[in-house]
Amino acid sequence: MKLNNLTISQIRKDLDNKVYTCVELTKEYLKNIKEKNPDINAFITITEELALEEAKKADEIIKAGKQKILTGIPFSVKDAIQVKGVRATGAAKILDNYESPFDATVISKIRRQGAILLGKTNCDAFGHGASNENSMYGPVKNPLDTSKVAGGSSGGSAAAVAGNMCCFSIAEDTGASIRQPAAFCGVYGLRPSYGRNSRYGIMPMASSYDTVGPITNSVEDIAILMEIIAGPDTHDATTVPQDVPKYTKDLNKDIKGLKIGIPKEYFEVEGMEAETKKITEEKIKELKNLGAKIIEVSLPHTKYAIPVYYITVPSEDSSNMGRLDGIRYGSQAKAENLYDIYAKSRGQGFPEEVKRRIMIGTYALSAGYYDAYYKKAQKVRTLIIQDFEKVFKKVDVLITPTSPFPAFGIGEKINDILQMYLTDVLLSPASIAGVPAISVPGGMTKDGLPVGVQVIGPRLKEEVVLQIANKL
Amino acid sequence: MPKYTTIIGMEIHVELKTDSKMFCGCKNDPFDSKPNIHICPVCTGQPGTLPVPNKKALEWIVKIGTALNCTTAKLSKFDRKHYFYPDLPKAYQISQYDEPVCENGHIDLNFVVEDNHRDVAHIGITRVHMEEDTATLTHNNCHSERSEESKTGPSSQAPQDDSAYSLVNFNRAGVPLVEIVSDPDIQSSTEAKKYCQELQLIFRYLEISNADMEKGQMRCEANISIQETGKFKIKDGLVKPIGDYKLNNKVELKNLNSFKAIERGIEFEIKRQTEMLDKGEDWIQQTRGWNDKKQETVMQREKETAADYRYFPEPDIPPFEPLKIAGDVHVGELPQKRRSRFMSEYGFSFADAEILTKDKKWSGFTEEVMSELIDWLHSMPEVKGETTEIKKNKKEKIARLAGGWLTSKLVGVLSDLKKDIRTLKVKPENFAELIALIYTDKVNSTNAQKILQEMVETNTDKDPTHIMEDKGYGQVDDESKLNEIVQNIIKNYPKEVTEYKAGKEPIIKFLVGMAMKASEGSANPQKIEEMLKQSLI
Repeated sequence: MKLNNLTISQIRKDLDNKVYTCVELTKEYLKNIKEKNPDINAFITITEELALEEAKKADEIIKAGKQKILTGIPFSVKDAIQVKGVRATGAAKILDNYESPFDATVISKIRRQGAILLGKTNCDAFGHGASNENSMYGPVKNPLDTSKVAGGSSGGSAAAVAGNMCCFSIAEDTGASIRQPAAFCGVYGLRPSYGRNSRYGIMPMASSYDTVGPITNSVEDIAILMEIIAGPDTHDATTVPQDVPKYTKDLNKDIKGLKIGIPKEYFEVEGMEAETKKITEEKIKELKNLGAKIIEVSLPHTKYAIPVYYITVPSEDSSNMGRLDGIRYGSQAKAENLYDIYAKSRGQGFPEEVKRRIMIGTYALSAGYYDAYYKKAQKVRTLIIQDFEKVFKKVDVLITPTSPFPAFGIGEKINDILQMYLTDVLLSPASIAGVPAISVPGGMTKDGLPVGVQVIGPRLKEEVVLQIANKL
Repeated sequence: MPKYTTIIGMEIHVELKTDSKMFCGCKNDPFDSKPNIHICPVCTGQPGTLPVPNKKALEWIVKIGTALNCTTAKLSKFDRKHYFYPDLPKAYQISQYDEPVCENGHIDLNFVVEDNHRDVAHIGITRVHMEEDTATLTHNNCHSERSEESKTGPSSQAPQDDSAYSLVNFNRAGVPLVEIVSDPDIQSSTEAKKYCQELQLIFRYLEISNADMEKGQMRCEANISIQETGKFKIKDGLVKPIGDYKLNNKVELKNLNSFKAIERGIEFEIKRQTEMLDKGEDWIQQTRGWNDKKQETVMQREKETAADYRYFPEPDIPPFEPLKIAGDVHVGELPQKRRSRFMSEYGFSFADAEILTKDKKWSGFTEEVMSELIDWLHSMPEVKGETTEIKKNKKEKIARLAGGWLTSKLVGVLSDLKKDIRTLKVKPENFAELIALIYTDKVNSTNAQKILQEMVETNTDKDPTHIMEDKGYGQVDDESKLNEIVQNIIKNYPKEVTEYKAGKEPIIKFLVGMAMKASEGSANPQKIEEMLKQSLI
């Protein structure tokens, strides 16, 4: 059997036609994980026993003809997402021994459809990072070039999908965390609209930004998964009540007449590489050839996106991290008194970047600074949201590169925090506005690194984003 | 005019008795004897859990606000209030900062002249907001008994051994909690106590909390400062100096765990601050605790600056519309209104009306007794007139009698028997019958008291006429028994008998009186007179 970036629909067909059994498939993935993971480091926890047990059951279900859409499909989950009974570290040592007491809503939805969990994937601790170098379990290497980063924060998920270590992965995107690693590893990743998918069970980073979405080998797989995981949740008051469209239905619909906006600010950012720009422009041309109208547009507040992001996100972040104290759960350091237990557990349990964001956020929310930082940033956030609202009155979607450059070298930016933060420049605006955005592979650089193209759509218009993405 | 004026603002926290907690589905039962059984990933702050507001709690807070004459916000939101403490599982409390559910209310308190320096106190309500309760902590240090943890850390000095530990119980974590902040309009310890009592009564009338202070279901804190009279004004809920007067700092008084503690703690603080001012001393803003044992306030911490809670809007809960959630709000008749109705409708005195409305059960019982009583009286041949006439013409007399029997006799019997109105088996109808028997002189007060005792004691519902007849407490009509008494009187008072026979007829009243006395009040006086006259012909 060859694990050649198998999609959900391919595996479904093969399992149903008894080309291979689910146990055979699962073993093959596990074998590949064991072979590659010591180098790639995509997984923090491998759930081999559980996977084989579930695979056996899946084969019986298929035999009985009672399979559901995901029965027997092996997948992985970012380690910042709760899967009941499975270790969830969030890639930070403070939760090294933490076992999830409950399933995240999206995970229970997926498991109800019969998917097989292979393990929990590496990431920047609690999603803090853009290169997966902020994991306390080591960086993830890019399967296409192991000297390069896999991107972050969901680097493990993207590397696992790209490296044939699972069929799909469920990940989390606060600023760029699904799209950027998907682009760096040459796979597909959707950040859904804020509120479209339940956040219940997703370790929070910035609660008003966090979203959960799939990383896959095809646009169709994303559509299939979104039909399963999207929708309101009684455990998440921020989910929206709107019905979930049939995302797979319109994937192949003609795009003739659709208006595609090209935001000029995105092509003018510092560090934009010519090859990346060229590949994106070629893709735009292809869409034009398919009958789409190409319109240059402007999102004037784009340049404020990174500053806004790095004030509001750490603010919420500093608040969300407070509960991790090593007392009720997680790893507790040995110390003489309570204060030292807190200090040591956190000192040892959080990586630098987590500490940095706690400091920035605490500062921005402090009395005397709140108005100048958090409040002001919130106001600018509103302006950025309005940028998108205005532009989507004119066009159906926006197309941009996912990142100004392809995967960079491991260690290349880790000591330059600002450069690292700036890698999200094309991704954080959509996150700030809570609109859906996908990254799809657009082509390869001459060095053999994938370049991602981003499609951004209006709020709750994932179906349009997917329809366009499917043509790229 | 007194030299100083006392300025007090109260902060009251009340736990709502909803079925489930504020943000999760756990049972709201903080007093369960087993620790940490009403808990879940949400209320223990597991990473990734999210709060979903309890609709009932939001309905109820609107009720409280409405009862306190507040304006309910069209749009409200939750905020995170950050502080790090072992009783706070998320390291922030979900509370409300600048958009509380209700604002700008008031309540008027009435006093009799002897109790307070003014007969009406108009107390502004600044705000009413929704939040969640914390976990409870129990400390066991080997060298001290169970104690409240000091803010510097419980065990930094205490030697660590097996007997030194702190326990956290999350059963209370996330219980719906409403905070009510008053304007600084309270001027005496009496007013402060009355304010808290009135609020407790409102919570109980609304049936949203048991508001038991001993159990911590209702917690009161006072902000007290003494200022020179005439040197300040209160505007928009804030104390402002006049001219170049410098306001004295306020003292936040905590650990007021009973109404008595509220009264005494504030009195102590007024005296302490007054003495300091007289000596020309001042003080910095501080938190003090009432020590019940020593009957004094004790410094807890000085506040140079306000604590920085780093409030920001709770991103996990979208802004909400309290009026839409609450729908039609019915608060029913509140204690104040019921009190004045008891006075006007039934003619009860201020004091009786106050006692009878102190408890919703009592006021309900009273109301039924009064309506049954009129029916009883109407059915008795001794009482003339239709029900409306009886109600109108005999109001004062009936109210005095019924009021006394309810507030002193029934209360007394209940307390003697260690019972309360909730366990009372006597039906209002039968209690009313007893009053009617007294009203119509069918039974005298001494015997009525015995009947009441028996009615309450037996734990079954007995009607008073039966007890009266069974025990012979009533007025005796039995001819042979009466005849015996009459013959004895004739024998014992020969002088009066002779006078009567000589034509001094009014002396018969004296003989009747003696006969009544001999029967211990149970004889029917008309019958006795008749029989005496007959025997003396």
